[in-house]
Parts: sequence; structure tokens; C-alpha cells
Amino acid sequence: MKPALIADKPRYPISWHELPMGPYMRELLEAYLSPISRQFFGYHLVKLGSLSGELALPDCPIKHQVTQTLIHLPSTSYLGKASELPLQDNSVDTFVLANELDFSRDPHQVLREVNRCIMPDGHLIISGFNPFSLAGIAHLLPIRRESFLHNARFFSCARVKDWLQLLGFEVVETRHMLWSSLLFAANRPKDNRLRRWAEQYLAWNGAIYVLVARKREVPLSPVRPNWRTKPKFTPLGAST
Amino acid sequence: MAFDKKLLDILACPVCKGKLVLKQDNESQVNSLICRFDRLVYPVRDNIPVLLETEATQVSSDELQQLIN
Repeated sequence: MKPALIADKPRYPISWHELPMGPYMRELLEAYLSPISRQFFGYHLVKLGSLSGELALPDCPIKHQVTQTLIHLPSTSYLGKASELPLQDNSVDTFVLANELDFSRDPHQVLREVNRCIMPDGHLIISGFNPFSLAGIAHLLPIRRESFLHNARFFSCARVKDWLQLLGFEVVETRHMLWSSLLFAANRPKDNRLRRWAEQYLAWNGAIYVLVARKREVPLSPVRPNWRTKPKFTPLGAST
Repeated sequence: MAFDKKLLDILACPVCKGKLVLKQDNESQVNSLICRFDRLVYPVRDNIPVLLETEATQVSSDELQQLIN
């Protein structure tokens, strides 16, 4: 297994349009997150990265949704690094990381920072490219080197789940979607029988996965003293 | 678009993770966010805070007092 930390920062896409089938991927993610986002609760929602910033969550009850990016974009609320989040401890209720780990130099540090800033019982949405898919095979081929797919890190769903478990997150939902090689496909997948069959029976083979996790913390409960009954009769000085 | 005041509830200094103070200049309409502990002044460009250590300006203790007062 390759180490998560690499020396150089991978090339980072500033929009879904730069990824193969990017706009369709965004539509899929928005459609999947729309009913889930109704359960989010709190005051602040932070979308990390330019891809997350373009995800619209209109049904989410959290009204204050901000986007953090490294460069100035139309969706930007403030500029900052994902590995050094300029956020207070335990301040954010929901984080959205759409393919952020796939394009980060040190995904462990990103998750550590998210863990520091997220509130107990806060939601965390992570999406990423699945290495055990047609897209995972396609990104290993030396074809269309200019595509951003070759720069993605392709961490497996199980690996990200393991990191989350280590940090005290509970993975609530997992979903694989989009059965396609991405690199050779058109902007939208063709609706044929093979694809419909694969999406039903080979769901684990989807090109992208989405994880919904919640931060769990054991609350500090005070240790109570042992209950001692007070005897009614105390023979004072009887022993002396 | 005006500066989003709700951001101040969550924003912190990326270096020390301490709270930031918003300094508003009504005449020049230039805002900045100040970290007292590290004596760093983060710029606010087009009402978007730039919370990058490389973009921040280091000030002395006297300058910091002047900025805050």
C-alpha cells in the first residue's frame, strides 16, 4: 500500500468541469445528499475545497454554509489551507469534503484538522474515487495524461473508513455510484442494459463512493461517591 | 457583498488556532483580521478573509496596540 503522505502536492481541479464526467458526478452527489442533508443540524457548515464549494445543498437546514478554498473563486467565503484549517476547535457542525482527500498531499493531516474543528455528533461527508472500479484501472493506463483523473490519489473506501474509525467517527452510510471508466466515457453515461445491470449488482464497483460519518464522543460523566448509610446509633468512645 | 460577520464565530488564526479580532477602517473600507498572540495581521480582500500565514503581516507589540485601539 502506498503511503498517504507524498512529497509534491497533486494538481488540483478548480471546478467539476475539469474532471471527466464531472458535472454528472456533481448531479449524482447532489441528488444523493439532498435527503441526507435534511438531517443535518447546527449553525455552521464548511465545504472544503473548490469541488465541495460547487455542491449545492438547498434542503440543508443549516443556513450558514461557507466554502474554504486555497485560491480566489466565485464560491469562496475565505481562503485557507485544508491542512491548516483557520477554524476554532469544536466550532463547525458539518464538513463536506468532496474528493478533497484525493487531491491532497497529506490526507491524514486534513482529517486531523477536521476532527479538531468538528463538533461532537457533527456530520462529515467524504466522497472519493474508488480504486476497485473501471476508473481505478483507467487511471493507471498511460492514456490522456492531461486528465485530472491521473492526479487523483484513489484511496479505497475501506482505507478512509479505517482512518475515520481511528479518529472516533462512526460511518453512518456508504454508497458507491457511477459505474463507468470516466476516462473513455462521454459527458453522460449511455443508458444501456450492461450499465443498468452493473449498477444494480456490481454497486461496489462504482467509480465514486460517498461516506456519511458522525463524530462520536463519550461524554464525561462525574464519578459519584459510594453511598454510605449513616448509622443512627454511634457508640461514642465505647472502644476507648 | 459585505463582510460575513457570522464567519467570526468560527474563524481562527491558522497558526495558533486562537480567536481573531476584526479591525474595520471606515474611511478606507479596508478590513483586517488580527491575531493578538502571534501579532499577525491577516488581510481581507474584497470582503474575503485571506487566512494564509504567507499572506499575513507580522507587526510589533506597539503597532498591535495602535491597531486594536
